[in-house]
Amino acid sequence: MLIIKSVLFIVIMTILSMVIGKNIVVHLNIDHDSLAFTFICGLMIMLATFLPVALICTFARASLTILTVIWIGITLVICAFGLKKESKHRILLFRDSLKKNKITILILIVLLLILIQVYFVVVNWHSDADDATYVGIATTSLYSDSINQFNPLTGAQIDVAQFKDYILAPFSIFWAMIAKLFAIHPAIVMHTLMPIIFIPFSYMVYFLIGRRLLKDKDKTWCFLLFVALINIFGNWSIRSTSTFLLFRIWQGKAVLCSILIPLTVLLLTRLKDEGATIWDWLLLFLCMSSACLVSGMGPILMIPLLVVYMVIDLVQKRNIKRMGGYLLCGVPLYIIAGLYALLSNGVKY
Amino acid sequence: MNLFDFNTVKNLYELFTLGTPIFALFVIVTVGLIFMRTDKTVLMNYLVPTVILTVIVLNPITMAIGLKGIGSELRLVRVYWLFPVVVVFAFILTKLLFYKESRRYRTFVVAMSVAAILFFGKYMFSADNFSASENLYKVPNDVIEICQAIEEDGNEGLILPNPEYVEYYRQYDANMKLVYGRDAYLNNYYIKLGADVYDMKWVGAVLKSTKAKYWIATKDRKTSINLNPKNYSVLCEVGDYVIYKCTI
Repeated sequence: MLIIKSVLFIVIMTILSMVIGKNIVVHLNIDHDSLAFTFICGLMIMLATFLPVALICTFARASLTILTVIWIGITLVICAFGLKKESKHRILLFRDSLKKNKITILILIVLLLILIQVYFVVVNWHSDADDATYVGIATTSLYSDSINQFNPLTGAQIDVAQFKDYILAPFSIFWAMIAKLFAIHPAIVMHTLMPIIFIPFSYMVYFLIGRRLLKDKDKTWCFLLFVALINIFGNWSIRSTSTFLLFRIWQGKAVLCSILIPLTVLLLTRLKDEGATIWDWLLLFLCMSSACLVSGMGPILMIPLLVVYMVIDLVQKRNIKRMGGYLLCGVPLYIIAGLYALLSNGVKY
Repeated sequence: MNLFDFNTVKNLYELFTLGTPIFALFVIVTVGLIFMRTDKTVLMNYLVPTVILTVIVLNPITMAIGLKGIGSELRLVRVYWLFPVVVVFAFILTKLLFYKESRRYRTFVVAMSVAAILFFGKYMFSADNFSASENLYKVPNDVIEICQAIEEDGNEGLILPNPEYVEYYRQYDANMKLVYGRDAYLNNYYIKLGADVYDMKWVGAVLKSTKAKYWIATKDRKTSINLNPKNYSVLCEVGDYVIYKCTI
């Protein structure tokens, strides 16, 4: 039964991401058949829409069940819009995409290396002390049907000052909700199932970065081969992005460093080099929201990143209007930083 | 912490370089690529932002502000993630590979690149970092058995856990209410409960003050005084541990 549920989890999450991602991808100046970009957009929308709902429910002391119902409602509406867009052509596009990407030995080697990483992480066990908090929050929320009301380490009432980072970055609550939806234990969802989606997710981002930098598919796959090798032999520090990707991808900060920061750089370079539609700005906005969702370090790291690219853009394009776009995309970061300051100063909710 | 003190700044820079030559190599490569001006996309999208970020981030004033806000240099060091180390290395190796058409040249570059990655890198999936999972939850089997034993007993109250497993109980079963959590290394729990001989005066006082109902102790560890079976009845034994039901 668990195997069926697990397969369902992976299939549904993938299909949902692809369908929801269509909402944005069709408006962007890229190959519409870019499966990787569609998947990334979909996951971004899912994560970003979860943040405001989760925070409102947290401050309103609503239950996890209510949060789940609201989020499903929103997701289904977005999904319906995604299905409407090019639904007739989806299968043809998928087939064309596979045809365009002829499977070479190089591609097989890269895919094999990624699969090996997923396999090792799924089958083996890396014990990390931070799991007591990250997985603990998910399990506690599910068991108590509440959102961040109890200390994940002991089960006592939560000390808001101590856990403000986790309250404002409710990534573990997202997994509690997913665990509730699929009736799988949160520890299994986070430790065993989530890496199956999020490790390839990280490589999709690197694939798109490689494609932008090298502008050639063969070169891009070579780039990805080197990224995979660097990651497999990237244990030169416990703080490298590779160790976070392969040791503890289920923790929000690992998603931030190995997926969202590279993705933000990719989106910022797209914005800078190719002009920008409202949809490009929206995608960056969603990425910023996702960064806030996954880690308390999100605002701290994303604000300097935004500012640096904004300054370079300003110097290169000399278009002051674009500054507004960058500043607006940072709105989730400022809001979370403000809430953080309030909670740090002892404001109760 | 005085950030204008030389040793403090030195320590922080060591933290930022992650104690390895990789970061130094990254800096050299970045500077080299900027001077070569080989590729405008890489230059403007990765290298110039890296240099600006380095100037903004790696200076004592930003560190002072950052440390004040973040509160720990171990967290501040995460700024390192903003530097695209993996992307830049993979890009350079790919560029080198496609520099010449010759098959012999490419084979040589691939061999050298792989050798360099193996030589400078450290294998991720070694036995030091990973062990075979005992179950899908990825917690020790003993933890699951202990939780089940306490649940079967009706889970009547707080638990004084063994420090070895304190971080796992609530990952598996959030109904386990613990006297202390993983953050208790700041106080006496880890030291007292990890000692060779249990200080029963201390354990008794903790159980009494917290009204804890269960104590998970290491089986072969001695106690400072003999346990009174009226106060400490054995619920069951799991692996190297014994669960006491306490009435103090």
